Amino acid sequence: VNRSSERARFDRTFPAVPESLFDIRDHVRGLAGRAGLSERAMEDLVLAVSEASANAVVHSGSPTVRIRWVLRDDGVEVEVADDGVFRNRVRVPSVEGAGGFGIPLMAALSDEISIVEGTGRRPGTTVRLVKRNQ
Amino acid sequence: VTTLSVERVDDPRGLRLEGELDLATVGEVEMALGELVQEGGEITLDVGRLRFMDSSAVQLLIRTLQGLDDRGRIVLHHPGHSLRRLIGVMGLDRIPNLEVRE
Repeated sequence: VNRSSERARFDRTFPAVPESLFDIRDHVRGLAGRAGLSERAMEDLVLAVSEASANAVVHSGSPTVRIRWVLRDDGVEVEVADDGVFRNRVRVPSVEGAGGFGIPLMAALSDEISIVEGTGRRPGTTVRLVKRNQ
Repeated sequence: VTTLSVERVDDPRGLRLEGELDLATVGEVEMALGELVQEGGEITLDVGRLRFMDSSAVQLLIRTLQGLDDRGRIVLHHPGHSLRRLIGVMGLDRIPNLEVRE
């Protein structure tokens, strides 16, 4: 991952409950507006981040979900990370959401997506979404 | 904080949704849909003032459409950009008893 173009980052942590999803979207909309993303790019990113966060809320058993906003020269990157310490996470499909729609949806909405599954030593899942300036 | 409002509408018969529909609020819609689904027929969901919808709502729609089968259909009325994107990506527009109406 090339991080040389990173200009700023901002972390915020939310309780891992469904009611946080609204606040997370609100948070991302605010940051996206200031980053100069187009309305459509912002809506795509908001939906992708909300999906990733919903997965963290439902599946991780983590008490919190951390949203990392990274402003890059070529766009923005958002990391959605949980630290599901209470449940053994095994494979990527656990991130897919109840209907298994999550990953294809997030991939369609983003320019780049990567998912890092936690290990016993370093628990938690991180979904990284990139939206580039057109 | 009220993030979603659900209103029962008689003409056209269905629901008017306003706000944001996600994992936290999808249960409200499911409950409101229950009676309409039982009766069958055409159900119109006016989503013109729905700012956001996620895949949990899409899953509810798919379940509902399967439950309706040939007893009824759903019309999604006035979807905005964000919803049309979700509908397209998730292939909802290919389900026979769902109509997306501008």
